[in-house]
Amino acid sequence: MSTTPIDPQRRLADNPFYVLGLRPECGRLDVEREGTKLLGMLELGLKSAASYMTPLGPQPRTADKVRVAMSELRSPERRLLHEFWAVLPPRPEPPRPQPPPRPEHDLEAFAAAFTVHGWERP
Amino acid sequence: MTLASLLGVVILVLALAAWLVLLLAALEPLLWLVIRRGVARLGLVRTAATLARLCRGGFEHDRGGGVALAGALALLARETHDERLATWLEGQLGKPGALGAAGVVAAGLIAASRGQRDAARDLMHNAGSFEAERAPAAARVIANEWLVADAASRGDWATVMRLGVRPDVMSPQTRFLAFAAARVRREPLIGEPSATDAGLRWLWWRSPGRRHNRPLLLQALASPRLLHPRKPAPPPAPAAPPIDPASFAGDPLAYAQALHALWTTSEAATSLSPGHLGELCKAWDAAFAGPALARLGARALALATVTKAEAALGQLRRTVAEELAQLAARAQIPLAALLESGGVGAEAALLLRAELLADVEKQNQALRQRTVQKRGLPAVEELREWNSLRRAYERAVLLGGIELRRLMFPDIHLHVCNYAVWLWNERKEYAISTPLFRWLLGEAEAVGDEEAIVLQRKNVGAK
Repeated sequence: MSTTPIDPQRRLADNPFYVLGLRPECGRLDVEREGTKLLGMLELGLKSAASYMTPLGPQPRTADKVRVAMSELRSPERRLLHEFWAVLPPRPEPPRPQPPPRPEHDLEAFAAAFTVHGWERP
Repeated sequence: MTLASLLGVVILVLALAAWLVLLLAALEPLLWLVIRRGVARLGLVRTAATLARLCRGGFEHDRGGGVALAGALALLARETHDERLATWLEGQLGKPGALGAAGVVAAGLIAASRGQRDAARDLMHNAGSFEAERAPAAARVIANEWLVADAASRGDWATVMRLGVRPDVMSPQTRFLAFAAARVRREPLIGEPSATDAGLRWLWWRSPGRRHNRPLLLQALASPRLLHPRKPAPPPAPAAPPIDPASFAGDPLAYAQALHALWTTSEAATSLSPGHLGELCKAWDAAFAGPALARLGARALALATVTKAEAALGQLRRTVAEELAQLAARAQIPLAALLESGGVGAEAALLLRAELLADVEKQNQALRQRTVQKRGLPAVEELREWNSLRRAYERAVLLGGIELRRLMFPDIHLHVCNYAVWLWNERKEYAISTPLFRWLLGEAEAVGDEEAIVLQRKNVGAK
C-alpha cells in the first residue's frame, strides 16, 4: 500500500542496530563508539567490517549505511521504533533456503521465445 | 484517331488495371510475408508501413491498423526503441476512423517496444475481443504469437499449451512451443495427439526461430513420449525457512516478528494461505496485547522520548496492519479471511478494502468526468484507460468477493455504460464499446441486477 513507509525486508536488513552490530539495550555512547570504529575500519578496507549479520543473513556494510544508522539512533523517537523492529537476534550463519529440487519433467521459463520474432531486445 | 480506336485503348487500359489489381490481390500474402520477414526485421519502420498500404485485402476493415502494424513490427526489430517513430506510428493510429484489431495489436507492439509489457499484454487480449470476420487474420496471428511467447517467457506453460494450438490463430512457432511444452511436461494438448520425435522435428523445422528454439527441441526430444497422461508428481518438499518462528515461541513479540519476517521477506509469500495469515494476525494480537506496550513504555522512559508509548504503539500497529493488508493482496487472500481473524487482521482488512474501493472510485470518476465533458482520447488511450479500470475492479472483486462486487457495480454500471454509449453513438468506436457492453452484461448477471441485465442485453444486441 502506498502509505507503507518502508519495505519490510529493508526495514529488517537495514535496521541501524544490525548495521552497527549492537543490541537495542545499548547506550548512546556505544552507538557513537561503534559507529566511529566501523567508519574507520571501512576507510581502511578491513574485511571484518564489510558485512553485518541480520536475522535474514549477512548484508553488505557501507560507510553511508553506518552514518545513516548513527543518525537514526541519535533521535530518541526514531530509535524507539527501530528498537521495536530489532527484537530478533541476528543469525551468525542463517541456513540459506535451497531451491526445491525440480521434478524431472519440469520446464523452465523460455526467455528465447520472445527473441524469435524479435519481440524483445537483447 | 477514330472513336473506335479510342474506345479500344480505354478498354485495354481498364483491362490492364483490373489485371494489376487481381495480380496484387493474388500476391498480397507474399507481400505481407516480405514485409514481416524481410523489411520489418531490418527495422525499416516507414518502408514497412508504406508497403503495407498495398495489402488492401488482408486489412480490408482496418487499413490504418495494417499500416501501423507493419511499422510496429519494424519498430520492435530496431536495436533500440525510437520514440520519434513510435509517436509517428501512434499518429497513424489516431487518424479518423474507428480503431480495428490490427491497430490494437500495433498499439500493443508499440507498448512492448517501450518496455510496457503489462500494457502490451492487455492490448493483445483486447485484440481477441474483435469479431473474427472483421479482424485481420494477420493481426490475430501476431497477437496470439505474442501472447504465447509472453507466456513461455514467464514459464506459464499451461497458457502456451492452450493458445499455441488454437485452430484459427496458431502458427508454426506457437505450435512448436505448445507441442514441445506438452512433451516435456508430459501433459496432453486439447484436441491434439502427442507429437512423435519426427513430428517435433518437423514442427521445429517449420518454426521461424530454429536457432533459438533448438534447446527446447533437445529438451523435448530427451523426454519420453507419453501416450496416456500420468498422475501429477507430488509437490516437492518445502525449502527450509530463512527464519524459524518456533524458536521464539516463548516471546510473543519476537514470535510475531519472526513470523511476519518469514512471510513478508521470503519467496514463500506467494504460498501464503488464509490459515497462515490467520496465524500471523493472531500472533500480532498476542504481541500487542502482551508485553509490547510495557516494553515500549519502559524504553520511552529510558530514552526520554516526547512520543508517548501508546502513540508509538498505535503507529506500529498501523504499520503492521498496512503490511498485513499488502501481504493479503499479494497472496490474493480474500478480505473475509482477514476480517475473520479479528484484531489487527480486521484493521488490515478495512485498510485493504478502502484502498481497493478508492482505486476503482478514482478511475471510475475520471471516466465519468471525461464522458460528461466529452473529452475524448485517441482510441488506443481509451482502451488503456478502460483496461486500467477493469483491472482495478477485477482485483477488488477477487479480494472483496460478492459483497464488494455488489457495492461497486451500480456506480461502475452507470458511468461505464454512459462512457460506452458515448463511444458508440458519437465516436463510432464500436470495437471498443461492444466488449464494454458485453462485460457490463456479465457483471450485471453476476450481481443479479435485473434492470442492468435488460439494458445490457439490448446494448449487446444493438449492433
